[in-house]
Order: sequence, then C-alpha cells, then structure tokens
Amino acid sequence: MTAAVTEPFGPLEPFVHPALFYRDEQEYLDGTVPFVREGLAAGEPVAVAVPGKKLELIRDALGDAAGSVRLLDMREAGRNPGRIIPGVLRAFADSQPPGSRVRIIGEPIWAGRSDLEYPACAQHEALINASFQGRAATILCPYDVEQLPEHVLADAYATHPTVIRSGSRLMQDSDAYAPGDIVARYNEPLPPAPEALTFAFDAESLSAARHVAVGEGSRHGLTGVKLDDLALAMAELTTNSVVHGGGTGVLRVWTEDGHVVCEVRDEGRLADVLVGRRPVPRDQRGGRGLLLVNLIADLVRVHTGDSGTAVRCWFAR
Amino acid sequence: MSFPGRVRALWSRTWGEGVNTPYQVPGSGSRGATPRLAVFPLAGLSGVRAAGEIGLSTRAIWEGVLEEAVREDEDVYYLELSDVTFVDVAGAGALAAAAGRLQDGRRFVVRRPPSALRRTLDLLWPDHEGIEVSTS
Repeated sequence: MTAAVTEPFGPLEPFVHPALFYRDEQEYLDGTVPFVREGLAAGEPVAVAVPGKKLELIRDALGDAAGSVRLLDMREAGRNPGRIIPGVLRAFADSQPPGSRVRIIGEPIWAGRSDLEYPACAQHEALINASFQGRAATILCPYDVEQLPEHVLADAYATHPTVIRSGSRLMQDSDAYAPGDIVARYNEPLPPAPEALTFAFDAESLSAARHVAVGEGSRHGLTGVKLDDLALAMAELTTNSVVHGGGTGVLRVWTEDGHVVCEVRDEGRLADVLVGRRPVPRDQRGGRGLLLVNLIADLVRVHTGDSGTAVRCWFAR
Repeated sequence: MSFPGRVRALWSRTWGEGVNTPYQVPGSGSRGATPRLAVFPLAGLSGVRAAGEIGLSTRAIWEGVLEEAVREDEDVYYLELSDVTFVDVAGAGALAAAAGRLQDGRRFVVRRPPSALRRTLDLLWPDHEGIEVSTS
C-alpha cells in the first residue's frame, strides 16, 4: 500500500472528498462533529446532509453551534441520488461568497437504500469528484460499516480519493480510487419492464405521449404536483429523444411498489456523464431538462450505450 | 378546442413479450394531434393572450411573442396564459431569459399560467426576476 497519511482534512487540495467509515454512534460523532466545528472555527460555510436520525445526533452534539450549520435530511433532499449534486452539494457551495472554502457532510448511502437505488447512489458518489474538481470544498461521506454490505464499502474506496478508516482520525489515500470505473460499471441495463402501456412517439406526437403518460399516472393515483411533475419529466425526456436521440422513442408507464414508473427509450447515447447534475448558469438558455427531471423524480436510473438510452423515473404515489 | 393534425403515434398495450397490438389514440382531439399555440393581443393592455401549449412544436411562436414583448415600452407586459395547458422547461427558460433582457423597471405579469410553469419557475428560477405570477 502506498497510501500517504495526513492529518484529518489538511493540508488541503482544493477539493477533498474522504469516505468516513464508522462502526457506531460514537465513531459517527467523533468523525463528524469535530469536522463541523473545525469548519465553523475557520469561518467556512458548513452543511450537513445525512439521514434524519443521524441529523438529530449531530444537531444535539453541536448544541448552539447547530444554528450556524445548514442541516438537511438526506432522505428527502437526496431521495433521488441524481439530484444530490445540483440540488444539495452545488446548491450550497455555489450560493456562498466567492472564494469561500465550503465543508459538507453528505451521507447518500444508508442501510435501506434499495437495489434499484444503489447503482444511482454509487454513480452519484463517483461523479462528485468530476463535479467539484478544482473547487475549494471538503465533502465528507460517512459509511456505516456495520449496516452496509461489503460491496458498498468496497465501492466507497473507488469513489473516494481518500478514506478515514473506522476508529481512525487519519485521512489516507485510497489505493482503489477509480471513479470512472464505477460510473461505467453501474451503467447497468435496467431490470425488465413489466406488462406496461407502451407508446411509440415522434416529433408530431410529443404532446400525445405526454397526455398518455399523464392519463396513466392519474389512473394509477398520482394527483396535483406529482402529476405535474410526471408531465414535465415526460415532456423533457420525449423531447430529448426527438431532438437528440434519433427523432423517435418509446414511452412506457407502469406501477411498482407504490410508485408510478415511466421509461423513455431512444437510439441516442448520453455522452456527458454530468448531464442533469450540473448546475446551469443563469444566462445559459437551454440544458435544464434532465436537471429538472432529477430535481422532481424520486429516483432516476439511466442506461446508455451503443444500443441506445433508457431513462426510467419513479414517482411516489 | 380541437387541434387539426394527423395522429401518427402507435398507442398500444404490451401483454407479455412480443405482443404489441397497435391502435390509434381514441378520438382526434388535442390528445393525438400536433399542438398549436394561438396568440391574440389583449384589448387595452400591453400584452397577449395565448391558447394551446408551449413545447417543441410551438417554441418558435412563443419565443417570437417574448422577443416582441422585450421591445415594448410599457412597464408591464401581460401574458394571459389561462388557456395554455402546458409549458415545458425550454418554454419556461425562454420566459426567464426574456425577463432577464427587460429594461430596468419593466416586468412580465403572467396571468393564470398552467401549474407546470409555476413548478418549473420555482425549481429552476426561484427568484423569478422580472416575472410576476398572478393567479387572478
């Protein structure tokens, strides 16, 4: 092993992205609370986005200092892993005064993330590196070594350039760091769709495709904002197929475990791994379609390759 | 309202593998036809009433409306959208971009837009600079 050992969180490259492995509550607090306090002491903006119960632990341990920290329940803010970069991490980092170094605890993977969600979680962790390259930020990602399966912990060594082992205060280089491999490996074919309403569309039937999807969504119990969200997502995905994906596509809608699921397939290939995750500058005209889909869906899974692209979205009923 | 145009889509249910029985979208109303966007001047006010939907096939019409609106002189330009059934993200983006080009002190008042437009603005342009959304 060639890992270099450095003091926790310093001296700093512009972007520091350690995985923090913890075994129990005490190790969790020992790894997170000093990280927050050190950031506050240095005048850095600090955010903590972790699952609700963990958020309570950190809030209680911080006491009055919690008032100076942006606290977010990752189960809500990061329900869809694809929105964590634009909607949580970059949203916080980019809203700070220019030149500020920011500090964030982000825990996107917890016991209970489903097998459907996990590939999107792993890709998210890998893509943080590209999204924050050269930016002055430290993003600490806690991993529960008691609760999470072995392959998840192994992936964390590939998605994080540095790691803090359970019970340690030292940040070490990860000798397995290979985020591109993770993005590629979890670009998996999606599970087969069940019997479903199927609608082939082209430029002239985009509106019809959206109406069909909304009709099915409504029939399956979506109402109000959720139905609007489904309409918006389907409009963006089908329009992308027409404009970028070969001009035609196929839409499918079905239900699955309390969700309405919509999928759009076309013959295009997504070349940009950060599409839909990159914040869009205010003065840029287009390029917000997949970003919006990530912000509104409860889960987005993508499979793209030479044979075409499938984007599947889940909306909780 | 009916929109002329041919139904091209195949709408089908797939029962198991390989069975794909195509049939036409029932009826020939707005569901299957290429949507249109009609635009009318507002009597006595600077602005327009639009009817239809704002998506890929009507984007050029919508951008033309906004282009003219940016060049107007009145402080307030009204966009009456109660007969617009849907606005996609690019349509919302065109509105936000046009609002950004308004001269100081000018603004759009968007009346009774479809809920999808409000949702998109809230998520992607939360400060709505130059855009006042009115529900009345």
